[in-house]
Amino acid sequence: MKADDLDAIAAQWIVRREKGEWSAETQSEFDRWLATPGNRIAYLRLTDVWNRAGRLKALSAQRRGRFFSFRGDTFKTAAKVAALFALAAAVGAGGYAWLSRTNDVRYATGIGEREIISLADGSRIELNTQTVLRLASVGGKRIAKLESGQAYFDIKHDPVHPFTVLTNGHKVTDIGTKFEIRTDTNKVQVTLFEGSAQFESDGPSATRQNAILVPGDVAVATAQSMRIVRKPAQKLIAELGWRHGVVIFDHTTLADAAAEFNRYNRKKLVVTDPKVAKLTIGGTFQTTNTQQLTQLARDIFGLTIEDRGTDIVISR
Amino acid sequence: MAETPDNHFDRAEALEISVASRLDDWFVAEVLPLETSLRKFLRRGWRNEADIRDLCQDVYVAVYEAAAREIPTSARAFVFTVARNVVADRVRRAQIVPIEAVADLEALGVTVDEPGPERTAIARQDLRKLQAALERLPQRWREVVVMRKVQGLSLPEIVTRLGIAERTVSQHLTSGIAALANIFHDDPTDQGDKS
Repeated sequence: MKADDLDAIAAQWIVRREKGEWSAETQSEFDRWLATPGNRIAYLRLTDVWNRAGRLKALSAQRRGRFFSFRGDTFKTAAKVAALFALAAAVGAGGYAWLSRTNDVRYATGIGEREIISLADGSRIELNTQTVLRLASVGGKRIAKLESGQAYFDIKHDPVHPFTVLTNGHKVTDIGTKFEIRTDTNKVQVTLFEGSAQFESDGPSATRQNAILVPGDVAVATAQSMRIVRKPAQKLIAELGWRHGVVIFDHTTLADAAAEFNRYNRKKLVVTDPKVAKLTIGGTFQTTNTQQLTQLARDIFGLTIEDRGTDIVISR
Repeated sequence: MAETPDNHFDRAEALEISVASRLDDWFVAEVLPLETSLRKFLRRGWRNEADIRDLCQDVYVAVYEAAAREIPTSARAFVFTVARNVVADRVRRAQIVPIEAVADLEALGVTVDEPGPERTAIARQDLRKLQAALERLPQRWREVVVMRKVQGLSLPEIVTRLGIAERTVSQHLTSGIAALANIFHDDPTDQGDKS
């Protein structure tokens, strides 16, 4: 049977269900029909999307401008963008009022969560744990603000609609790129994987810098300085392990490994003993599987693991 | 309480149901979200757009039946391996498509190990995709889907509102449900390799 015909029958079952005309007889007829894998799959597939369609209710409550649709008032762009940057600079990292009057959309991930945003223009943004990102389209300019956390950007370049990321006052503008930005309390790190991007650091005018990043470049900006280092391909790959839900350690100290794990997990790893903290480990670990690390610490280093409920202490 | 044969039967049945629903859960959570990538992949190996949905279904049935024996560790890798075989098989049977159509599959390849948007797709993204899908639905179907899902009306309410036969409403809704799934899983920018 053609899949389309199968879909028609599966959809009829869904409609019958919704009508509520459902006797014991119907049920057994339905069960018989479902017993064939092809039928069952067609039904599961349609039900899945039909259930998701329940989310459309949100549309009746809110009417939001179409995101990144690039229609509309381009002539106002320059003024709007200028105001936007001024606003972003004024409110800084707190960014509460940022773009509140435009059609921005806020994305946030909790501890251990990841989210992938596929944009209408074919660009993709992946958010790592504890990340807040806002997206807006002003005129035709695509603007993102990384308020905290870490994100990977795979941007479809479009000279007419440049893509800019603001973070802690720094600015990254794509020139056809794949790049990652990680923010920490006092620094911002931009890693470029493909293409190129322009990075403009914030800070006192004397230290403000503007650089074109090429693949392999890692720009690290603090409030006072910016430097660019080059990283080998292997390191770059390890950097992106989180996109696959893993952290990759290579001669990483236990202290650093614990700190990395703590970004993804509510239950924190605690390493207080300085000698223990300096032990180094390597390998690929699932970000949310703390046990993999504690087991290794116990079995390889013979350390003591104490689960205290809210945290886990690793000691000698 | 002594176990009667009936009890045994109940337990066996309960077990079967739980196995089936575990399999279904896995299929819905891990396999179905790959459809957009799967369609892209299939289009690169098979030019005839009219067959894409059927090829998807063939892949699904093979995947589901294999998973009934053992659920594979990587759904993604497994689905694309099966897809490759399904396309290769079709090409062999058709005998009209030059063989490089499959030989190049890997080179053209949809990257199989890349985490797709599917794995962590969430509400907002779903909503955007649904909204776009809704806009691409033919108007009659869209109307009833919107009434049902956006406005939350029941079928009798829709019948009253539209003033048309219940049968017609059911038909529109049936078509709408099937079309919505196809459009939802399709990437409108993907034109395959139709050169």
